[in-house]
Amino acid sequence: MTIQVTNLVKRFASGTAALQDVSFSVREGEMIGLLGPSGSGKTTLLRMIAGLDRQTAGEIRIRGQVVDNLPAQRRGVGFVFQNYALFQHMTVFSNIAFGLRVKRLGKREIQDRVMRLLRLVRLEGYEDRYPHQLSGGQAQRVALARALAPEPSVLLLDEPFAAVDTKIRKELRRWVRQIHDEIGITSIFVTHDQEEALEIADRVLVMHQGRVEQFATPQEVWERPLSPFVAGFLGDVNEGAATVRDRQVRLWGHTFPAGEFADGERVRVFVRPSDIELGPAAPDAVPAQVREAVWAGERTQVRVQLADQSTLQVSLPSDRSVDLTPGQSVSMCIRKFQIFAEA
Amino acid sequence: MKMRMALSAGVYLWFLILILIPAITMVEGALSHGVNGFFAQVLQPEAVSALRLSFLITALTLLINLPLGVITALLIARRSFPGWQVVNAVVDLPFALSPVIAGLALLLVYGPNTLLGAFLQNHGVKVMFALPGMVLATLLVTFPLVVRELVPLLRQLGLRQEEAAWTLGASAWRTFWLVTLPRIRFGLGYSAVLTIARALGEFGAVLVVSGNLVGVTQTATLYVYQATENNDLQAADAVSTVLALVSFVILILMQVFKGRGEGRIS
Repeated sequence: MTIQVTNLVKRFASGTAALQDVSFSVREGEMIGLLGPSGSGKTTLLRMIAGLDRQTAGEIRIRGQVVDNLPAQRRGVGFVFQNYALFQHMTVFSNIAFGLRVKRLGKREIQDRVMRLLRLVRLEGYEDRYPHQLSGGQAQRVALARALAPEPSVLLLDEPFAAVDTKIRKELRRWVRQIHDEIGITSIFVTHDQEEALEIADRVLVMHQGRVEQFATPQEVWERPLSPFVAGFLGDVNEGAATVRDRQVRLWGHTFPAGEFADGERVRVFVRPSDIELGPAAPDAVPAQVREAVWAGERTQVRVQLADQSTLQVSLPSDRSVDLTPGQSVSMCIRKFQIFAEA
Repeated sequence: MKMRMALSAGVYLWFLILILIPAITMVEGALSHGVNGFFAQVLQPEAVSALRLSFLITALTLLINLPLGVITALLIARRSFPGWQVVNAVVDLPFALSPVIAGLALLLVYGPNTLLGAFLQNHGVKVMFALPGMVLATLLVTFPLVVRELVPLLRQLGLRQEEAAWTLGASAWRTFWLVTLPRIRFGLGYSAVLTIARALGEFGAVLVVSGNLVGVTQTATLYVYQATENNDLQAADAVSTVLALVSFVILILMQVFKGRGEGRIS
């Protein structure tokens, strides 16, 4: 285990708890996405692993060593800050060389390593620029190169793509993943963007109100969320509540098997828009009426109304040959769903 | 349009009455016996000694208050010790206090008839009516200048770049020299220049603690005051002109630091 966090608690002086009993461990070479809404404690957790904040209780191990009493300087952890925190008064070269000069490496070695890193982040020829002369994406890459220069065993990234515009963002995150694989480092990145986490992380740690809600592969988190929060946080979702009768849940004209839930229990049902299929109206299918259809490239977002007046969001591939004119009657079929006990 | 012209004319007139005419009159007075007369006045032993003392006090004040101010500002800005709010409030005290009262307060603590003063005197340290007391008084009135300039600047800059330096392995000491100091250098330069201006021009606090001994504890401002009292206006004008020239240089330096500091905040 490269990183092992045990029963970590962080309370601020005001008494509010930022982290409550957080435990998890990260394997060597993994890339972990720390996902959660703002205020869920993910940045606090990252800062504590780096040694920038101190926990109230609990233990952090990096490569087997307890680091709780080690200052940030001696944890061997690279950190990429949200707004990069490049040294504004230094050139790109000096920024990247900083950690090497601190280590008092020889001039030649520093020169060689910085140049190698510049090649790695594809910024050759930029060594004499100052941070204010760089675009967001370039500054991001310098920050990454600077964090990697001292060859840390762990790389932590705090919202690394938040300040880059959407177009470069997708490109940049795949590229960061590529670098992660190339140098074989263990990394954790914080994000509030579920798409980002699901796309590049090996495993996703979903946090909510200072607790770990689920820690699993992107696919598992997506397909088998462990809590209503996870089900609701990862992408759009239709949500409804009902009471179990005859070991069944009746909702939206559908009958869902109640699974582990007993008769009389209140449950919440979650269905993703992409797990609903629409077809031409048929006598034996659940009827629905198209309210609105918004074409958005590959998919079309449809709002349908059911017999009980409730509405559902549906996301259909745009090439489906279903008449989506508002007012049109269609049939509806739910392919996948999640049921949770009502809190 | 007319309104604006009238207002500008008013400002110019006020500027003329308040600053320009007195300044010109002073330089004119200093040069009333020609350039040679001016130098004769400035080179008088008492004048030379007064100017030298003023510059010495200023240099010592700068040497002590700059590092002390930086440390205090860092502690307050980073809220890194309990009770920083108290220190933050007390730092401004010298601003609120009349310099004469500040001087008097020092006299009450270190004067020859006090416990501490007598103790120091018995051990061969003369604080009051000597250089240490005058430096102490100047330190007291200039202390807020560095702190007040740097605290907001440090808070605005935040700690991110320092934290980045720590994660890269730099000790707190190296981080200060390599990251923090370069980022506050213009603010620090500006406050240093303010300190010089204030220290050179200090009158009240120094008057109380110096004893105003000619050629020993008489600073340039005290010399000007004395000369005016003695109706030796030419001597007063000459030394005043020297101080004014220094002020002019300071003013230019202030503009330089201010301009660069504003342009390069990151």
